[in-house]
Amino acid sequence: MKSKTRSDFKKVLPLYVFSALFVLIPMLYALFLSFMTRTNTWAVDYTFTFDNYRELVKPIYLSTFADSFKLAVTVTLVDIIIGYPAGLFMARLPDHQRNFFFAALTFPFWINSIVRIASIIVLLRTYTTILYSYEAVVITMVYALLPFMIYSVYSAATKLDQSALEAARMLGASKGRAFLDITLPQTAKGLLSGVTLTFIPSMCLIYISDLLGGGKFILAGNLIENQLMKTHNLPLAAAISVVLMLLTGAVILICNRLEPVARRRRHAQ
Amino acid sequence: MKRLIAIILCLAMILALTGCSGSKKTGTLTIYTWAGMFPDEVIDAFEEETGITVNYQNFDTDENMLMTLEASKGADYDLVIADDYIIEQVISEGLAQKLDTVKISNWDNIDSRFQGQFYDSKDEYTVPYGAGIMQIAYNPDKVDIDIKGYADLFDDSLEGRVGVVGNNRVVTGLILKMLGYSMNTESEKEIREAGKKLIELSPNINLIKDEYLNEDLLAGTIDVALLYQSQATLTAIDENGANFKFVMPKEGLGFGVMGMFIPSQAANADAAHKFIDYILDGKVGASCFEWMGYCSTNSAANQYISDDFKDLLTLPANLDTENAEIVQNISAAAADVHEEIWNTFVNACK
Repeated sequence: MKSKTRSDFKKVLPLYVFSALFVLIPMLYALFLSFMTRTNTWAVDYTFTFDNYRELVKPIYLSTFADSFKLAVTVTLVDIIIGYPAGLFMARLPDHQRNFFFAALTFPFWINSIVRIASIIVLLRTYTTILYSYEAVVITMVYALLPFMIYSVYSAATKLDQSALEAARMLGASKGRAFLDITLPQTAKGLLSGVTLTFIPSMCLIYISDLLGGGKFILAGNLIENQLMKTHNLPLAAAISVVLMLLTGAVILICNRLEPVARRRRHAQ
Repeated sequence: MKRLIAIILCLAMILALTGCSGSKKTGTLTIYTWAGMFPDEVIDAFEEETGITVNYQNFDTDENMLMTLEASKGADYDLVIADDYIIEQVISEGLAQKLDTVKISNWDNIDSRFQGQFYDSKDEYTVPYGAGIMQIAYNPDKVDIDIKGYADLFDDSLEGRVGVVGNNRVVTGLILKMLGYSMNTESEKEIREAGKKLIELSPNINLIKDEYLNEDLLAGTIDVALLYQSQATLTAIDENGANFKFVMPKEGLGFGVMGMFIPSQAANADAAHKFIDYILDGKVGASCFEWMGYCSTNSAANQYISDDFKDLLTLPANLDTENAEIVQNISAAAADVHEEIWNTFVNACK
């Protein structure tokens, strides 16, 4: 038994090494950097300070975080409204039609996202007046992230126990009741992982807000970029990243907590 | 295992070999700059005339160039072209070498108005290669007022119709000039005053974008743009931009100069001098400035620039450069204030 676990450990060792090198260490370094002092040039002075976090409490930074959060929530909600039914619908299709929809969803990924966004700009400029507005940013982000929601819901929905649904209907449950007690709890995992996959990128897809919003909508990601590339304030950039990581971490945590809650629903009956 | 070691050793040898070849070979000139700084004909003609092979390498930002030069300690490249403010940093870190003006017979062709700048006040290290002047461009068919300077951008009739470049030091700097201050002031009071003024501009702003602002102006998404020289040129040469007006604002000019310098450990400084001399030739220079769309920094080149571009690409001989300023590096504290008021301005624009 013991030797078996050891060989298992050996098999996943590269994964641990990789995660430590490219995820854990950079994150710890960012955390470390966020407590350092900037110098007058572009370097970092290794003196401990809380100034970077104190700077972030300024109204302008707080409102930027609030705006990013609001945008991310809006985009995620719209993606749920469109993506959740679409994912359920796809899972119920016969094989050949399902493959068609799958291909249709995958196809845009063959084209570089910047090219796709450039064509959205052309479309909006030609046929609408909303280019460089908040609506344009939301529409494009919804478009860019929708496939992730559909895939997540779809993969959960294919495992949906159809016989349970039929049983519920036969025993007199209304369509709505059956959905709430069977479909929703069984697909909750997919829905929540879809939420994570759309919410977190939409806090930071700065090229979309830059290109479609005409540079007028700053996200938390823009703040980091400006601190790095323009003001050269590495410690402040690190502090913003840390706050962003905490925020997204909180969202993941909430999603993970919600999933068992949603699943328990059907046992409570 | 032995085989693995053999393979690794082979790979290491190949890597070592590629590391040796290239720039170190005599007769090769390695230029390090942005993409598209010279027309191909100029490079070809230089290679033919001198027998030197040009190896052209790109960077995308000044900051990346500085990092590369710091890493190589001023080796690997023979000639670099970059922006003024970064050259100041390069020289202060000892990464550039002094020019041997004896080897540059066309030295006197340089337009002296672009010399003696803050980054190289004695002109020991650099030769200017193109300058950019911030301009206001507008479509007179759609704009009723006559725009003469930055103050006109605040006009009520322009609500939601103005685009500016996404460079906070430049835009705030021009507002500072409008208020009668220096672009490079480190006084928090003055910067904040400019910040307040910027907020007044926000209702008119529809677009803040650093790249290809000219396209939005030509497409009619915006009717007035505060843009870089190169973007003004691109607007002027477009068929839709034929009747557009270009203004050098009366409050003073914001400009930037690109400079050529030779890194301290350049392997082929001789070839670099030859290239600088070649580019400083009047006719060659003129074709370069027309190609780049930047303002000529070569007095001898001005006469060869075609009449279509002369107004855009040459400084008027009688122009008052007294009030012209270049964005320079400022203290970290002042830069932080700039960043804060800029974010507030952007927030007010949405």
